[in-house]
Amino acid sequence: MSKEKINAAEIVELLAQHAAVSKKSADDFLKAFITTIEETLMSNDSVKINGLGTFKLQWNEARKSVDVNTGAEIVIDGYYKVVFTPDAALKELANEPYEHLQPVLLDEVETAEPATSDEITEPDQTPLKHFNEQADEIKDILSEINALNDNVEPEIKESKKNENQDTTVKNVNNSHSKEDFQPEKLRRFPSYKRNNNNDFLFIGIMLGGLLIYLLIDFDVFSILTKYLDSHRFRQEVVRYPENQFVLPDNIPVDTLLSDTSLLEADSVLQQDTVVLQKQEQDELQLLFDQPRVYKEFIATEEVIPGSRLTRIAERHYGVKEFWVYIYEANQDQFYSPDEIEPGMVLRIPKLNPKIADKNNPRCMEYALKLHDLYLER
Amino acid sequence: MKHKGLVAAVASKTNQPENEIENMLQATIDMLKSQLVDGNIVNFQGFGSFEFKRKEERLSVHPATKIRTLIPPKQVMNFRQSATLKVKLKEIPHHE
Repeated sequence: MSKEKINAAEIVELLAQHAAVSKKSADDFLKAFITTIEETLMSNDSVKINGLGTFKLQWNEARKSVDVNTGAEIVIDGYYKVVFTPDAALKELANEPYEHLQPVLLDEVETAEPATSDEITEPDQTPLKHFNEQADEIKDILSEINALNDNVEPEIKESKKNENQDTTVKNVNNSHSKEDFQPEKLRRFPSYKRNNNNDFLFIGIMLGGLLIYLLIDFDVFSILTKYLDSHRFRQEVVRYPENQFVLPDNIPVDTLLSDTSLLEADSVLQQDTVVLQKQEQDELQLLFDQPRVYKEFIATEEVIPGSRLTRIAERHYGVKEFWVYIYEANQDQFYSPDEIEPGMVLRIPKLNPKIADKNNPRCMEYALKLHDLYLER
Repeated sequence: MKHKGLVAAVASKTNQPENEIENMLQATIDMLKSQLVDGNIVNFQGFGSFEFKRKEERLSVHPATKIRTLIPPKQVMNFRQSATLKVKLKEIPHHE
């Protein structure tokens, strides 16, 4: 399969045909187009073309090499090179003939087995199936929680809910581990010998991923339960008007709680501790939800070529994930967080130590969430 | 420089309205893509050439778990700068 090379004259002809213009104007356009790109690159700027990709200069460092004829050591000077990064659409277009192919896991085989094309083309749909099943289970749990919310008896409700949540979560865990097993077995090629050691490792990794997934789920639950609690206490107070509870709207939930807990001596201790933990978490959540205003700055920094927001954040806060806060404080200067340009003067904000606590996993999680949010834009 | 800046710069160079240049640019991109899909190499003289290159299938081994994965063949976009451009680029000093 030899490839045909399309040269300048042919490009002009094709373009004139395509855009329905004269050859001369097509030629003029192309020349101006190419020289503009070149000039921009010469001034060390990148050129982005929608629907195509980005041209950029890349500096290749000087390196030592050996002259192949004489064996003498020579130094290759550093040089600039134009690199082109295709955008997602072009990448997909390029890979169109092979896009149905998926990577295939080959388990431990004694001899290297050249894979046949059948194996490659097998579409691997198990992750999608997994995801659907998980979604269904989450829906079930949510509907159960909602049903409990309608229940009138608050005491029973609390304990029941806890139990229920626990059991449902256990169920989810169990069913998942089973599911993890089966497609695994199916995917194996029956004639191959299995290496047990590696199997356990693989299953362990799968379970670890699941755990993280469930933890994220729990985050959702904590917000849900918080909402349910506040709802419940309102109801409760309304139901005992003879106890002279004054209920202005702005009384915080915890004071209400201490009042009501006097009435029900049994569950006081348990409830209190639970609520204390929740409160702490909620405070953090409130801090997260507040719009951050940066007034105090610990430093200002001028961007030099090669700087990255993450590196600056690591220098000042010791944690690179906190770059999002620097970005927030200097948002007026950015078009997007990727495009940090030499000469920009960044102000490094002083962070609330509760938010920027690198030992608190929730803080890290929140920073990562922001990270995703900003990169998506 | 972004898309709009490029269109504006080319328009001022050729003394033509921006929307015309925009159309031409779109036509160029479409033409380039259709040629590439047909399996041709498109060479812009003095700048570089565009080509779709096939990467063969290969076997990758996860260094920690030793799980082997067969990566299927794929086709990628490839840009190769021309020799004249390379010489030109040598003239700019390295600023860091």
